[in-house]
Amino acid sequence: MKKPEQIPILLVEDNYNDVLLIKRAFRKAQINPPISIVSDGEEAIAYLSREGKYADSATYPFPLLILLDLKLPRRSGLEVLSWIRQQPKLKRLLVVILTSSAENSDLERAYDIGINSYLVKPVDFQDFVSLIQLIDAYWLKLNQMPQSLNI
Amino acid sequence: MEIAIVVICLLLALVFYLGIEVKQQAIALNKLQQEKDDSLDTFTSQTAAKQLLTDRNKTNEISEELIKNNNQRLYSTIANAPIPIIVHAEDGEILQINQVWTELTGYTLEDIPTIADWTEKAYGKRKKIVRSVIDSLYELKERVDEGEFKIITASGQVRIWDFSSAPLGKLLDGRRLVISTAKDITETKLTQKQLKQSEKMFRNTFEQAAVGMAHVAPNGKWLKVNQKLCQIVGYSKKELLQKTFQDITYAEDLKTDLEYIAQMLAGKIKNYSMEKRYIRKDASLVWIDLTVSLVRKSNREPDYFISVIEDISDRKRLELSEKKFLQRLSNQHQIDKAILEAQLPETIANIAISGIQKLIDSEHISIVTFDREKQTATVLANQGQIDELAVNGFQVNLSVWQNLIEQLENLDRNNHRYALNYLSKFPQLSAAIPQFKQTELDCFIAFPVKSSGKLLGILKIWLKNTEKIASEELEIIREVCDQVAIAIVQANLSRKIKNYTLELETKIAQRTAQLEDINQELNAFTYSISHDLKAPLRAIQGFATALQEDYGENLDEVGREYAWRLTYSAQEMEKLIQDLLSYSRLARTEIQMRSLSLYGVIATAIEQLKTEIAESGAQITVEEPLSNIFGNQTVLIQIVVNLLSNAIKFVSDGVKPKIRIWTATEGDRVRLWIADNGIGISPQYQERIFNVFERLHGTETYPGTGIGLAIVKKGMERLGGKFGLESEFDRGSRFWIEGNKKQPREN
Repeated sequence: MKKPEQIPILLVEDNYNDVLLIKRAFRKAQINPPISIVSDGEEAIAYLSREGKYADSATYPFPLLILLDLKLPRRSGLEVLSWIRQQPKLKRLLVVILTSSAENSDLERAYDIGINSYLVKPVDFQDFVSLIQLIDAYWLKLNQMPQSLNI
Repeated sequence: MEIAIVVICLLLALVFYLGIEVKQQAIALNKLQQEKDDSLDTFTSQTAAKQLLTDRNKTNEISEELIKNNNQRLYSTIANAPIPIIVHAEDGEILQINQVWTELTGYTLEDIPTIADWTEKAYGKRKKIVRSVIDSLYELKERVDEGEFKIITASGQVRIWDFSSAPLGKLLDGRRLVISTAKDITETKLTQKQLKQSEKMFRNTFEQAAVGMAHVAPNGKWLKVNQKLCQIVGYSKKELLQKTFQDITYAEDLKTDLEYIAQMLAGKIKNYSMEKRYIRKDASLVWIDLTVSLVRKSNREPDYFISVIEDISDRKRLELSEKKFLQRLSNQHQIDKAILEAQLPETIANIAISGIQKLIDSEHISIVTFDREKQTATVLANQGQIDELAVNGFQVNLSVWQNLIEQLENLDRNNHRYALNYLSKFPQLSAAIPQFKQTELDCFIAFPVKSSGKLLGILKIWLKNTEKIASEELEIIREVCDQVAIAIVQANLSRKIKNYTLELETKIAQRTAQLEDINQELNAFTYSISHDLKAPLRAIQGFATALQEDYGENLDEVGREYAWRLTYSAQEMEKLIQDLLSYSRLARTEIQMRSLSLYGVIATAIEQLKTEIAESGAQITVEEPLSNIFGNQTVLIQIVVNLLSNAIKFVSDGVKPKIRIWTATEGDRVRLWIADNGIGISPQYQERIFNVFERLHGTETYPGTGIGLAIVKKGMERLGGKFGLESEFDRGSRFWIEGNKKQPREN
C-alpha cells in the first residue's frame, strides 16, 4: 500500500472557483496529496509531455491520477483524454472525469475513449467533500495501481 | 335412229324398185294382152287363134309367175322390215301390215282390214283429217313425207309416228296401191322433250343460281356467265363475255389462281377452291370464294372450266372488322399500359403510331404537340415508309401551324372529327417542312389531339392514295388521339408533380436543416445550462458554506441568515435546472416503447420519493391488480414521480397525504389513476397547470419549480397517450394518464 501523500494528482480545471472549492474539499477531507493544477487542455498535454517548464519533475511531479474537467478552453477534456489514450507511455494513467455535465453524449463518448471513472461535481459543498473522500478512499487507497505506466 | 332412217330409205328404194318392176311387168303384161287382143282382132283363124291363145296363156303364165314371185318377195320384205309398214289400196282395203306394225300398235290385219278401221281405231276424232291425207296419197307419183301423227294403240297408248308413203302401182283389178312406212318416234320425242326440260332446268339453275356461275375457256375467256356473277363483278353479261378471268382478277391473287389452273390442266387436281379478289367494273375490289372444276372433251382435251363464284365480301368485311377490332383492342391496351406505366409521351406516341400503321395503309404518320406558353410545335413521334422525313423533337414556331390549328379547332362546330388536307394548301407549313415537298406526299388526314376541349397537338396520317379509309378506322384513330392526349396531359401533370415534389423535397431539406440547427443549438444550450450555469451555482454554494464554516463566528445572526439564504437559493436553482434538463431531455431524446408492468414503475417512483414520503408521513395505497401499459419505463417513472410528489406536496397544513393508486381498463386502453386528499384544483386552472412554469401557489407555501406537470404532459405526449384530472377546490385531485395496454397493431 502506497502512502496517500505520495500519490500526485493533476487537476485539469479552468474554473478558478472550482479549483478553490476542490482544494478546500481536499483540506476538509484532510487529504493532502501533491496537486498540480493546469487550466486548459493544451497545458494539460504540455504537462504530461513534460514540455517547457513542466520538464522540472520536482516542481511538477508526474501524476498517477488525473481529475479532468470536460469543458476546457483550447482543447476539450475529451480531446485531452483521446490524446492520453493514444500515448503508449500514458495509456494506463488513471483518468477520472470530474465535470458539471451529466449529458449522456459526453458520458458515453468519454467511456468509449477510455476513462476510469465519471463523476459529476455536486452543487452542495458537503457532497463535494464526501466525493473527494470517496475518490481518496477508492482510487488512491483501495485501488491497485498499475506497476508501471509504460507498456 | 339413224339406222332406222337408213332401213326406211333402203326399204322405200326397194319398194319403189319393186313397184317399178311390177309396173313394168304389168305394162308388159298389158302389152301382151293388147297384142293378144289385137291379134284376136287381126287373126280370126282357128290356128292363129289357137296359137295366140297359147301365147297368151303362155304369157299369162309367165307374168303370173313373175308377179307371183315379185309379190312374194315384196310381201316378205315388208313383213320382216324393222319399221311399221302398211300397204293399202285406194278403195281403203289394207292389203298388208307388217309384224312391227302389229307389235307397236297391237292391231293385226284382222283388226284393221280397211283404212276406215285403222283411222277409226288409231285416230279417233282426227280420223277425217287423217283420212283425207291418206286419200290424197293414191294420186302420188313419188314418195312423200306426211309428217308426224299421233296414233292410239290397241292398249290405248299414244305413239308418235312419222309417216312416209309412196305409190305402189296398181293391182290387177286396177286399184292403186300405196305403201306407207312409219318411224316410231315416241321415245325420241319423249327424250327430246325431257332433254328440252332438263336443258331448261339447267338454264334456270345456271341463270337463277344464288351464286355466280360461269363456263370459262381454258385460255380464261368467259364463255357463259350467269346473272349473279355479273352482279358480283358489276359488268353486264355482254361486257363480261368480252373479258378473261385474268382481266378482272386482282393482281395479288392471280398467281395462285393460275397455279391451280396449271395443276388442274395437268390433271394433278380435279378441282380447287380459293378466296380471291375480283376488280369490279367500278374499280372496287370484291372478295369471292371460287370453286373450279374442269370439263374435258371425249378425247381428254380440256374443254372448259366450270366456275362457281360466291361473294364473300360480307364475311371478309366481318373478318376484317373482327381483326381490326382485335387490333383496336390491342392498340388501346398497349397505350393504356404505357399510360399506366407513366411512360414518356414520346414512347406512347410511338406505340400509338405503330398501332395505327397495323390498321391503315399509310405513307407516314406523325404526332406534333403544341406548347402554347412557349409558342412552339414539336414533333413528338413519327414513323413511316420514308425514314428521314422528320426528326422527333423537331421544333418550329407555333404560328406555322396556325391555319391547321384553326381548322381543327373548328371541327367540332362542323361536327367533324378529322380533316382531309393537302399540304400544298398550307404554304407556311410546307415551307417549314421542306422534306415533305421533296416527296410526293401532299394529302394527309389531320386528327386533333384534344383534352378537355384544348387542342394539345395534331396527328397526321399521310396518304399516297386518297382511297377511302373506313369510318370505323377513323373512329379508331380518333380514340388513339384521345389516348395520346391523355398521355400528354398525364405527362404534363407528372412533370408538374415531379417539380412540386422536388420543390417540397427541397423545402423539407431546408426545414430539416433548420430544425437540425435548432436542435444543435438546443443541445448546446442544454449543455450550457447543465455545465455553465451549474458552475457559478456551485461557487455560490461552496463559498457560502465556506463563509459559514470558516467565518461563521465573525458573523452576526443576520449575516448567518444571509449566508444560509445564499445556500438555500443555490439549492433551489440547482433543482430548477435539474427539472428543466429533465423536461428538455424528455422533449428531444428518442424514446423506445414496450409493454411494461406498472408495478415496477410505481415501486421505483415510491422508492425515489421515500424521503418525501417519510417526512410527510404520506400513506400510499396501491389497488391491485395493476394492468400493463405500452410505454417507456424511464418516462413513466418520471411522470409518476411528479404526480406522486405533487400529491404529497399539495396538502393543507397538518393533513397527512393519503394517496390511492389504481388502474382501469377499457378495451385496449388502460388508465392509471392517482387520487389524493390534497387541496384540489379549481376547474378554471385545470388546463393551465400542465404548462411549463405554471404555478398556482407561492414558493413560500408550496415550493417547486412549476415544471412537474409539464413533464407529465410532455411525457404522455411523447408516449402517444392522454392525461387529465378530476378535481375540485379543497376536495382532493384525481390525476390520470392513459395509454394502450399492448403495442397497437399497425395497419
